[in-house]
Amino acid sequence: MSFNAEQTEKDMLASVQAVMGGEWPKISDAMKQVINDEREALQKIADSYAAGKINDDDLKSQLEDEQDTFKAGLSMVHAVSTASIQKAVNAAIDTFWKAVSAAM
Amino acid sequence: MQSNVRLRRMYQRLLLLFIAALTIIPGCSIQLIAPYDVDTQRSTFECAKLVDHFYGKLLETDDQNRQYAKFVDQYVAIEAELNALVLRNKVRKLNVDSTDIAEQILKFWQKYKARHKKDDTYSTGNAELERDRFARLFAYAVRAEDAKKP
Repeated sequence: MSFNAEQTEKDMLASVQAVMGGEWPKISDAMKQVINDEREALQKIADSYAAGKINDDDLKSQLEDEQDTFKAGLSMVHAVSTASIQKAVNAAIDTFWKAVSAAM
Repeated sequence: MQSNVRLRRMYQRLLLLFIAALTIIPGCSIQLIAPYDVDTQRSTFECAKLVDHFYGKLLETDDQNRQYAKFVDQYVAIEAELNALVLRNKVRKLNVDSTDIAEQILKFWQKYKARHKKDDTYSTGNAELERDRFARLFAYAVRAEDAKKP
């Protein structure tokens, strides 16, 4: 059996697509969680301020802290994305190795 | 002509060597992110519980009784746990995102502790918002670790 480079390339791409198809909802959900969390947090801060539970200085500090919290959320999304990319690339490598083994 | 034959044989040998190398490195894969660590996950949950417990007790305490001295032991104990969580994440290769999250949790803990010490009280408004913030941050830490599962 000979090694078919063109077919192997197509199979590798299909592996990546199959894995990313399964992984994309995780990345999307992670981003939605962070955005939704931020929206709710900002609402709570606004409500607290309106109710007189926090003063002007507290409001400024809370909003600054939300910026850093949002960045931490983005770190989480980055971790989820990186893990997904790793799975996709390794699926492609696995497909390649199987094609090489089959050709020998 | 003879040099062409020699070149072709050399390329064939190299190709065979490459294929042979692949056969003795089965399942070679790339690593872009640290592998999942169950102990780190357990530590994260434990820290989340300690912080939430702290805020629960604080919010149950009357405003007039929230002097810093009454909470200092808890602050010190929890900060030690959070320092350990940062260290646990920092020593792992390819673990920048989780380390960033753990470090942010620790920074907020130290910031709010410093403010409590300076003001010698902790307002309900700030306590409620900050309890919620920590809960979200720990959820991000857990989710980032979970993503590393194969």
